[in-house]
Amino acid sequence: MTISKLGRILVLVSIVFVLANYLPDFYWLKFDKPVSKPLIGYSPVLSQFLIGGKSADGFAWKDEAGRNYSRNEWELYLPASNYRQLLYENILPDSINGEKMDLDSLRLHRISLRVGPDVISSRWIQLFPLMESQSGRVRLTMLDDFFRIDENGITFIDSKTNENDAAKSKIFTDAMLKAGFNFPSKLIAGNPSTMKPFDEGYFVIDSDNKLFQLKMVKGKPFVKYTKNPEGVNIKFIMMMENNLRNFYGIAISTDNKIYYILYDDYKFLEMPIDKYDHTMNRFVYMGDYLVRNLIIENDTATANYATDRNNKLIKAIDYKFYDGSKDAAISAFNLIFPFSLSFEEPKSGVFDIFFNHSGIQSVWGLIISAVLAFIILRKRKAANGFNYFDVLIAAFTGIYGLIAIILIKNVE
Amino acid sequence: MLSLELQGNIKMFKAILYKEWLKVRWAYIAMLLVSLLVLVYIWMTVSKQIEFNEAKTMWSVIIFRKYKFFSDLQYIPLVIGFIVGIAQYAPEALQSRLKLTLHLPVKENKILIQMLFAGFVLIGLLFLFIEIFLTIITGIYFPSEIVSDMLTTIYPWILSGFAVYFAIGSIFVEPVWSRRITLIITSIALISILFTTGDFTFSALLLLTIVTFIIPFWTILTGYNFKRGIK
Amino acid sequence: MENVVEVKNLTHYYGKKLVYENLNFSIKKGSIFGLLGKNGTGKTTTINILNGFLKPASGQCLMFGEDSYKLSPETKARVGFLIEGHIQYDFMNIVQIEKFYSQFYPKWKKEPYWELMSKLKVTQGQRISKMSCGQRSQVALGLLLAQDPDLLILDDYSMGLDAGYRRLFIDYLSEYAKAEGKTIFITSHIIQDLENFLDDCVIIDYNSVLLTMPVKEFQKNFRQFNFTTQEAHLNLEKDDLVRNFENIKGHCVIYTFASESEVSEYLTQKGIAFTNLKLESMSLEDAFIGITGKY
Repeated sequence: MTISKLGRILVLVSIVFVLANYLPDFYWLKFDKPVSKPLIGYSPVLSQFLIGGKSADGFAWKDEAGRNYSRNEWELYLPASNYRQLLYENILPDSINGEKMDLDSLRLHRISLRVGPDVISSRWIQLFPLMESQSGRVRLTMLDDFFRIDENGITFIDSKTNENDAAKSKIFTDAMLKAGFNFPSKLIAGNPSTMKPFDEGYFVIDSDNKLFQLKMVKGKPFVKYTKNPEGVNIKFIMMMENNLRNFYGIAISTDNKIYYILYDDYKFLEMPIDKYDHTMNRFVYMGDYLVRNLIIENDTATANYATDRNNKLIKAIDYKFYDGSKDAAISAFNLIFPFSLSFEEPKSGVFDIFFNHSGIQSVWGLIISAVLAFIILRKRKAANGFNYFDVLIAAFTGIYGLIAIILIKNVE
Repeated sequence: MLSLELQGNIKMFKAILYKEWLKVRWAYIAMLLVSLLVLVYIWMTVSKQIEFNEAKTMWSVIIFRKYKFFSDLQYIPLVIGFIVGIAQYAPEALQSRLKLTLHLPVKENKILIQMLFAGFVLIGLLFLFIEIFLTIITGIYFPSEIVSDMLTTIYPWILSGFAVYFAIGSIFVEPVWSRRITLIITSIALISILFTTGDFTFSALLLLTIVTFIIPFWTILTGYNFKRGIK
Repeated sequence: MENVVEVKNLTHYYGKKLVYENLNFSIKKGSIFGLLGKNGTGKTTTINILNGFLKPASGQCLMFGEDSYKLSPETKARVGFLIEGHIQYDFMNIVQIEKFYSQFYPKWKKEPYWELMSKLKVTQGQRISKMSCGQRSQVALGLLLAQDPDLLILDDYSMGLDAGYRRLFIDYLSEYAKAEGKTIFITSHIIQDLENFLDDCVIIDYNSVLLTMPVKEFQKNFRQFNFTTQEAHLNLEKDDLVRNFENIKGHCVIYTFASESEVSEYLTQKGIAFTNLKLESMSLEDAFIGITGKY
């Protein structure tokens, strides 16, 4: 192979790289169709799921059997999640299924939370503010310092001077060591916001996979080993201070299990779900006084698990909301594009290298590309025309390679 | 003791570097001043923002909202690569001055790559200056985590400067307009990937680096086309 | 004698337009060879092929025995090349450019360069782009002399130069050519300067090669005959004998390689009544115009 041939191949590689990045995007700009996600909630009144979603005549509420409901009925049948509306209309029942519709309880249990793959995979600067959790004030305030945890311990850095606060760092490092913390940390999870009712500090996993809670109480360190269960490999923790004070937040394990981290001795309570993949699915928690809806979603379907306050599964439903309107476009895509390349997954917002091959469907496209390459190259004249290598390029990279070899003729 | 061949290579590269420097020096100095201006502006802005909004607020928006206080710098490497590339290659491509260069007693591909390498060294030094300056500014106000995050963030911007420079170098040599256009579009598309908003992972940055450093080797093809006189 | 350049059956097209076909010539070591032709006949194209900047449609070009398309650096070092219009790195000044080129040529001799430069009225810091065309040509020439190549290829050295600089150029080249084994390949459309300078020449016209021979032979054998005739519209087609013909109101000119008696016989045979058939002496330029025609 001559050096000029090599130069050409590098140009071809560049063109294929660019096309594999952009052509699929252009394709979907033209052919993508919106898929509307339904609203699904478990009705403790009807003991079945109610599904709200777009239909031919606007938004419609239906039950599992397909019976239609009005919006008012929907609200009545999902009383705990719609209690404010019912209260406003003065039609909130006193009790449902023997549960008293106590306003405080209704308010406290109304919690929602969502975790998508983008949230789990996103990178953050590993500096954290530690608030005073018992300041004696109603509002939380941010202090001037931020901490980092490395192999030397915990270090507080004063943002005003950009210098370490050696004294505070020592006090906290000592406290953590005393609690059995093994530096550095593998994960630091907190909710560093002043817009929350109170502060529970951070959950920190040490290098031995032990989970600790770290907070500051009246200027002093509070470090507690949680005795987290062995065998649960924690991938992600989302903290969510809420007045219910039933759970600190949730933990997601590498093997796709989701746990409540309970106030009750930091117990891990596994949610009764399956079909979850933290790299693909979004997890949504929609809790109210009567039902905790655990929802696992992707672009085409949703799995809803209705549980009670004690995490007992009441009923589950798999619901496919994708109507097949894009099937033809997807098949055509797979035929035309043997693979695609991107650095951001548009649906989940996750950043990485995404090399998606179109599977067995693309074989026909590759064959067609190779045949086209064969015909086009045959028509070209002598030296910078036909060669088997170019046909091979088209056979392996399909439309991308075909375009590239047409644009950049062969060299001698 | 260096071998004679290597000594000869170094001597010739120094000569090429000298020639390229003579072409680009004014553009280069102008770009250095522009960079300096932007860096000083960023510096002043950061210090003002901290003065007005408290350091902790500034830290918080950087850490939790991914605020890029240095975002004015985003397109500076691109502009540098573009201007230096034009300054270096326009005089070469005009009036077939490239024939003089290719007639020098060095292998054609070698001299084309050396020309690109010379420019790469020059703009690389400028980028290094920007990085060091920005590291110092950032280090004054922020801890190392924010410094390294800043460096990771500007990395693809820096790559864009190299990419546009390499692309200009290769494309100016190409004699055929249709192929020039193909290569121009390819490079624009490639460079715009570098500006995809969001965080690239380490492996993504690695791949983008590899792809960027393929571009200078386009010149093997375009130089071949130039030599062949394909018009 | 050894040939420095050998051109064999060279054919080239510009797009679909034929530039020339089957161009053959060789340049002997130590000779001065001219490629002559009017503007746009393919002189620069030939030079480009010779220097490896153009791949010919067919045929072969050898320089020092190497395919001109794949010249080794060693061979390129032996070839000095003047680009049409004396193009140089005009962003440099005369000091910088000498410094630059000297790094590439092991045989670099800076004396002839500085000797030439000392005669130019330019400052050392003056950029070449700010110089006059004549001054630029001297810089280019000085660099060539300093390179001390075995073969000099000059593409239209006369372009843009007034008579003085053209003369100066040729003087220096003559001096240079006296050295042992130096070969010069020169193209020009101004022929008068080359009289008594060239050894051999090729004359090309639009899409054809008119002749290839030593200049002395050309000047000796190519003749101009004048005669007068009553046939005011007499026109002779070009053929083996008539290489060119002009008729201005009965005053006719024949350009030919034939002798007077052959011409006379030819005209008689064609039944043309003529008087005053006379051999005219020609300069090289006259002969060039004679063979290529005025248009």
